[in-house]
Amino acid sequence: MWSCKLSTGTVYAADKEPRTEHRVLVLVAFEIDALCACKILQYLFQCDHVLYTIVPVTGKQDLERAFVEHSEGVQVCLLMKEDDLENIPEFRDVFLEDESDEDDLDNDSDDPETGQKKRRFDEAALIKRMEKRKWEENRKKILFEYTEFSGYGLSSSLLLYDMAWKMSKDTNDLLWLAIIGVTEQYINQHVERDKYMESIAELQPHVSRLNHRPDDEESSISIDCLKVMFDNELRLTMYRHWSLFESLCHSEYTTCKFKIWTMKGRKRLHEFLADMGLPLVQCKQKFTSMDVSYKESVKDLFKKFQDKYSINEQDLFLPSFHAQYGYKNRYCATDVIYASEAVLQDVEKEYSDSDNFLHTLDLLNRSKTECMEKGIEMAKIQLSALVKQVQSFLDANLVISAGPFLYAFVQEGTPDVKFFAKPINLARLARFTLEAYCCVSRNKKVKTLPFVLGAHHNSDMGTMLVIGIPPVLDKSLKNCFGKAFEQAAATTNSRTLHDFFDSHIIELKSEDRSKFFDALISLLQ
Amino acid sequence: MATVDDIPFDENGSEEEGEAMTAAEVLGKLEEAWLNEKFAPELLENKSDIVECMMSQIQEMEENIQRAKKGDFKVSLHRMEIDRIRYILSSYLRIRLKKIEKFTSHLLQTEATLEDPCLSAEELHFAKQYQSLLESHMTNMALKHMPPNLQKLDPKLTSK
Amino acid sequence: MSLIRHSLYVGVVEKPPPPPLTEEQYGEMEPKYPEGGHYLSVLRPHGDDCVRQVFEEMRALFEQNQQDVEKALDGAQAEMFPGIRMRHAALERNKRCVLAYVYNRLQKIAQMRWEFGSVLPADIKYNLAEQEVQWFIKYTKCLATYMRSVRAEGGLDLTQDLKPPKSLYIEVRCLMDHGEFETQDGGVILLKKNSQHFLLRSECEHLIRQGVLEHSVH
Repeated sequence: MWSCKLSTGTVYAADKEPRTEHRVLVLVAFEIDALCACKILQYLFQCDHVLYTIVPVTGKQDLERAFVEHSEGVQVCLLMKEDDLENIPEFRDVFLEDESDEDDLDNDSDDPETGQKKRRFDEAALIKRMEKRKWEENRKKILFEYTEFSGYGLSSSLLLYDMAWKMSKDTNDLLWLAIIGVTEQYINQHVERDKYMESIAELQPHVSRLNHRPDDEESSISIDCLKVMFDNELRLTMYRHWSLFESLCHSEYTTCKFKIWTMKGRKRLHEFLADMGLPLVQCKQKFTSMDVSYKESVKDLFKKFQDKYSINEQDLFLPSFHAQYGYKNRYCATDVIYASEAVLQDVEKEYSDSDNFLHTLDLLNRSKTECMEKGIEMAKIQLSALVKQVQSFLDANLVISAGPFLYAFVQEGTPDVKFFAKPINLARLARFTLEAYCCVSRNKKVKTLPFVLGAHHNSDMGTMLVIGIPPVLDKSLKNCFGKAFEQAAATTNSRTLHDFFDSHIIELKSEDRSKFFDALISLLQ
Repeated sequence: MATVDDIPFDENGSEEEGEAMTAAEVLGKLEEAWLNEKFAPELLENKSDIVECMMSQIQEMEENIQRAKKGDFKVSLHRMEIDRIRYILSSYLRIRLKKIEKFTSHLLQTEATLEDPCLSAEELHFAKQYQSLLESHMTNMALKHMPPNLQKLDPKLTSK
Repeated sequence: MSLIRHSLYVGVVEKPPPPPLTEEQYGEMEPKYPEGGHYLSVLRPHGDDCVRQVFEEMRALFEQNQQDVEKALDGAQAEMFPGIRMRHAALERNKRCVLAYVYNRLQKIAQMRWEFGSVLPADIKYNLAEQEVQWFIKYTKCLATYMRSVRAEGGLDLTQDLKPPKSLYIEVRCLMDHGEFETQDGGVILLKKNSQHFLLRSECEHLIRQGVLEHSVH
């Protein structure tokens, strides 16, 4: 149940024909990759008339509740969530059924005549018991190792797309969903660049295959059809739907590179634009209204001047895809992710989490363009709040070194605190802050330190969200905080809630903050 | 239509009616009646024999599906076929009912004079009930409160 | 003619005589009360007061006419007849308007039976007169008798299959917590707000019409 790889396999593999008579319960986590995977699955199920029920789940408790509530009459249960598939311990190492052995022993003792035999069996039982003890120790070790670090595996939407392809049910729309899922993992630093590039290399042949058309009139398709194209994208956040200048000021890499939040940094950015020959007036207006000659040469100009400003090409450019449908709609994969995550984390009070979930599903629907436009606007607002927060962290020196790690808090009463009470935004803020801090700090050591960020979460409950992320220099993206948080909470009796699927995000009673952090420091020393 | 042909059809059932028709033919007739009824402004003669025949056909198909192996791909095709037929059937009867509701008193008046009745027995029953419901409501709500010489429903004014 | 107009006017409004009515204004009561009648989706509260006022007016007109008729018969005053005829026309007109109003509402109430099923939503019931509610119940019974009588055991539910079926199964979103729902094959599904289900169309059609589910189209 925990890995969708196994379970989805069973739906289709167990029977040659899909089991239409069973209802499948699909539990979907609040992650864009999971949503994309869910949409692909919906399509496949609809093709095969497999009945299903989809329920969004926010955390572990929610998962349990949803499972209990909906499991009646359900034969197969799928959980849509990115998970580490590679290091899952072998089944027999963790779960072992011993019942048959016990039965054997019982049967033997019932038989009085075979005393000889009985002793032999006792010996055998002893050996078995020893083996069992060994196995138990081994199990503990394996489980500890498994839970010590948490990471992410293959994108589930890519996995499902692959399956759709093998079933000859792949379409351009499904491919686009898989692309979004894969890109989300990279944008949120769930996978390292190499892994992302592998996935892109896997997707590229599909893109060419499904979008290849000879150049004559007859085979041209309607403008409304989805066209997906490979592109070396500029890593400027949503610049096609914003102005170039705003986008430069809100993208993680460029802001940190130029240190936008200092006067000197701003000047340097202006200088960079001037060097490229882009007038400020043009840069500050909507990208779509920019002079065509500038618009078309933006990428080349960036490439030409990147060395002079010691910009790393890998950081500024990202091999990715963009989609075009209709005359107006042109989105690159990252645009969609920012927009959909903004909607998924909508802070509007009238919407519940599951409302946001459905809105995001709508947004991923190509036909609802107005949802997408709204999402992009929301993403801009949330991103601006985030950059402002990073700036205030730096200006007020709020990032503090605790020895083994850095930490910072978003206090209650900070204007945009509501945005950071959501895990995806909090994670993004943590990464942005750490990156920015490393750029500003003179101390070289900070790049090797992990970062813990707390943000006010819920006034009524008096709780805060705490997230831990690995150091900047650690490219493996393994996160050790899940286990650390758990132990720190256990030793100090802090009231914590480890409800999120990501174990490195927890909810903590604000009053217990200091003792929890003391324990965390001594634990990581 | 092809799937209707697939279903073993009880030949005897239709022979009782006097003429032998295959299920597909009956469906064709029903569709014709349905379209005619849909586009005609007035009520056409009833085709209750076709409706009855099709109803029993549906029932038979449903029984066949019950007997079919679970997960058989053909089942969903048959189900879809049933859904479509049922739609035509109910749509046909619905259109007739709407017309009856609209022209109740006119229909009831002319029905007596016709040799071939337009309405089926059930429809006639419905029409009579509906008419009396309508009249009693009109009387209670309005006519009762009017001056004595105006307390009658004038069929010329109300039934169009 | 001024006399006639005056008598009419007295009949219409007795107590506060606001600006004297002109000929065009006479009968202006009607456009006010059948208001609810024209849009199928909304049903306004039953205009009891308005209708009563019209009855009142009719009675006044009728009394006036009776007096005049007696006078006319006695004295054979020819000039009385145009007045009588005029009033009678007004009476007939009022009758027609009231009947049209009542009939229009009935049609809409009948329509409700097709849209909401046999139980009226409370907010709509609130806008109906007691007799209209009774009529709805009787109509429902009448329709049920007919549907039962359509051959085959169990009859044919004509309120189902209102639209041509496009596919056997459809995807629906649950708009409110509805509780458990039993499917034809005996399975039980929990219809909880914001959950999505893939169901047999014929099974959930009535829930969609009740607003419990929403058909999500891709």
